[in-house]
Order: sequence, then C-alpha cells, then structure tokens
Amino acid sequence: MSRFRPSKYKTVPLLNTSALPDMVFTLLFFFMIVTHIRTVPVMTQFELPTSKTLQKLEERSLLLYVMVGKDPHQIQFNSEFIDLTSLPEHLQAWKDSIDPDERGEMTAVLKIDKNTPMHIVHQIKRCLREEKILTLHYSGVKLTS
Amino acid sequence: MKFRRGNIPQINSGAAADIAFLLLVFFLITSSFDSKTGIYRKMSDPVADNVIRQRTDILSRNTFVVRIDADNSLHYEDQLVTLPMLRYLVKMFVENPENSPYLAEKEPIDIPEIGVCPVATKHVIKLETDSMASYQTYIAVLGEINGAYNELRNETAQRLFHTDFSRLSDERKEALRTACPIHIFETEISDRL
Repeated sequence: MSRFRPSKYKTVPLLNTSALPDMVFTLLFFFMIVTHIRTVPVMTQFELPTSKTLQKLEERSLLLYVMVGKDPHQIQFNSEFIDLTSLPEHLQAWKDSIDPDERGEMTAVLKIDKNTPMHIVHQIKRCLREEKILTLHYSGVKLTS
Repeated sequence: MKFRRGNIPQINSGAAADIAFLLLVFFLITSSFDSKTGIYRKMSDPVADNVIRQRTDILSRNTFVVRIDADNSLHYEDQLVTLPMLRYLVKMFVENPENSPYLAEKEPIDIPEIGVCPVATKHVIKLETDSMASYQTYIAVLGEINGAYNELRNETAQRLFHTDFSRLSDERKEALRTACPIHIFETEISDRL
C-alpha cells in the first residue's frame, strides 16, 4: 500500500485570484477607450462607403441621425423608422423639441449604404436644407491601400 | 508606542472581480463601435444657392465641372477620368501654378498672418451627380476633391510656416482657409424631370 500517498497531499492548493480584478479592469479600460457611448441605436443594416480622405466627427454640435439601409426604403431618423416622404415633418418635430438657445449648430450625420441611388441622398439633402440644417457629415470608412 | 496589535485580517477581494465584470458588461452594452469618421460638407443656404444659379458672371475658366453618370463613370469636360486623375486635375485647377488663362483666376488678397497672397476666390468645383449614380461613387469623388484641397493647404502651410496644416495655430489655420477657400457646388442630373 505504499503507492497511496498520505491524505494531506490530496487537497488542491488554492488558486490565487488576486490578479483577476486587475485583468478585468484592464479589459474595461480597453473598452472604455476604443468605444463611445451610443446615442442613437443603429437598427438599420448598411455598409458604409469607402474614401481615402476622412475627417473625424466632432460631437460638440447638436447631432441628428439619418440612416438608409441596404434596402433603400428602410430609412431611420434618429431612433425610429420613417417614410422618406414624411422626413420634413419629422425634422420639424425634432427641431421644435429642442430649446431654441441650443439650436445653434446642428449637424446631420448621414449613415447611408454605399449602393443607395443618389436621388434618395439628394432628397434627404433637400429636406435638411429646407430646415436650415446645413452641416452634413457623410459617414464613411477609410480606404486602406 | 505600538500601532498594531496582532495581525490585520486580510480583505476579502473575491467580489472585486465580480464588480469589475459588472462594470465591463455595462460598458459593453451602452457603447458602440460604429465609425465616427466621414466627410464634412457645408451646404449653401437655399437663398444663396439661387443667387449662384442666377449669376452669369462666373467665367467658364473659373468652373471645373465633374459629372458622375448613371453608370458611375466620371467625366471631366466630357472626358472619362479616374479618381487619382481627378485629384490631380482639381489641384492643378485651383492652384494654377503658372497662372494659365484657362485655369482658376486668382486675385491678390491681404490676409493677416500671411500678407498679400494670390487667392482663387472665384473658382467653383461643380459636381453634377446623376440621380441613378451610387452613393459610393459620390463619396469617393467628394473624398478625392477634399483630398486635393487638403494637399493644397498642406503644401501652402509647408511653404509659409514649414509645418503641416493640422499643426498650425487657430489664427493661422483661419488665414490658410481664406488663402485656399473650398468652393464646391453640387447639382443633380435627373431624367425624370
């Protein structure tokens, strides 16, 4: 029976987990740096166009989102789906909901699928322009090559 | 005098990891990865636009017409061009280094920080887009035009201040914006009208 070790060796030594919180915190900081707080839920499916020169969106001004999905009839205005013909009313309602003092600089962020025909883009631009929202930001992905 | 008597009990840090995980999950839910890059465009006021449309004093030497057709091909004065060519053409047109009478007209303007410098104040890049062209082509063209202007501003910054445009002070940036103004005018070609 000498092959059986005494019972005191049978207990598994305690796992030292004191570094675990540190690891999780590192992960947390990583995510805090690379992501940003979501303002409007993206419910539309789209593939953004690519371009060689791009600028970063400055979030100092008031933002409004218009998204057009792969299916060009799927149009999202801020956090709801709308019909393209009703965009002026929605823009008007959105403008009215904002305090006139803060209305100063408004930027429309356009997230539009890359295969959308231009007449839809032009129609959106026309509506925005009539509402005096003149700064646009066309979201795109940097072309690397 | 003794501060401590006996051993200090160890703090149980078993829950610290759980707290950190909770925070992590919270951030994962409330944040998003979507891109914040894109192209800025400032549209002209509808009133100003009508004024531009009615102006007849814009000389043909001051307009640079780019057309995007329904089949996504690019045309400059009825010639088929590629994107890198377009960038070069726009840059040459606005810069007009040899003061050619066929490219953008320049007039001397007194700008603070720089002094008197010839500026292409009257030039217009006219971008005509067919209503059936794809958004991708439009963005690529806008990107190239912006790229041409950026190159121009960077070169001017290098020549005057020996640094890149992005590293200049705000006053100097403003001065360069006056020295290299951006004039893009967009129109839509539609067959349905």
